Amino acid sequence: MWVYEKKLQFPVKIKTPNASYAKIIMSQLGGPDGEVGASMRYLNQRFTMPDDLNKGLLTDVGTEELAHQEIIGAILYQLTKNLSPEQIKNQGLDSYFVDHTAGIWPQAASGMPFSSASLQCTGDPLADLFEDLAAEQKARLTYDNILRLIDDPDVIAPIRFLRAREVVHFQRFGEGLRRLQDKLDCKNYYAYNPSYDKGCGCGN
Amino acid sequence: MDCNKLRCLMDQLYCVSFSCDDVNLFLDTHPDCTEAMQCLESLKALEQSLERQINESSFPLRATKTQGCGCWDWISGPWPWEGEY
Repeated sequence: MWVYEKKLQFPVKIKTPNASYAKIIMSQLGGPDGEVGASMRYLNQRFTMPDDLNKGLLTDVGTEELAHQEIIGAILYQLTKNLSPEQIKNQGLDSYFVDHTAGIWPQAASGMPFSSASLQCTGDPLADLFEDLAAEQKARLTYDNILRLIDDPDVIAPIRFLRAREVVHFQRFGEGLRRLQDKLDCKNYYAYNPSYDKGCGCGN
Repeated sequence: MDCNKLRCLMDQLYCVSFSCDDVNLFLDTHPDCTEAMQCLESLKALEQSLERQINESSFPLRATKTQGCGCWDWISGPWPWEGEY
């Protein structure tokens, strides 16, 4: 289960609201490669991992992604505070505002609501870990794109932090994958699913 | 609550607590690394000290760390997304 700590993993202190920044950064909350998707993916994939190492890794990275969801929420909250309807309209957030005011709702910048269709939990640990490597690269590139589009150091600081974490998570998943592959019989590398097929001898 | 003291303690806690998170992930994929485990032990000691100072001087960081002031100060602001610390 989870315990909540009343602090962010990285501080967010944005002095200047900007709805046009919020419009694009919201993809890292509810977009196809955002933090909501990342946490749901890892926290659900972990149930069918055959080894303690990957159960632990997915639990801990998934938990960190919940903390990242919170950072993005804080960024969006501070970027949309105290804006007038005119500012919201001029900064391109009026079609979001009409349904959500300055509420924080998981969607992509395009307006697509968050969906589990953007993630998979295949129940096959190899497929899942390869997906996780790709997911971290997609999240990293999304942060790269955000950094191309924004100019405010108060916003850049937490975004850069989050981008760096994606790179580290990618490294960790690579190690988790390698540790799992090391335990598999080299003759049957892809012939069976270590989480489902019996007798493959690749537990702890 | 002395704001400068709180900000100073929080700035240290952000660094130490994050370092714990990072070493934790490293240990998940390097569970036999004794150097990392020792590093985590020192970081945890520092983290606990900072958390205790913040709990006692400012506000509870966890719901289980209220200081018995006679009110349920767990729910009192500021909250982390409000940008005050």
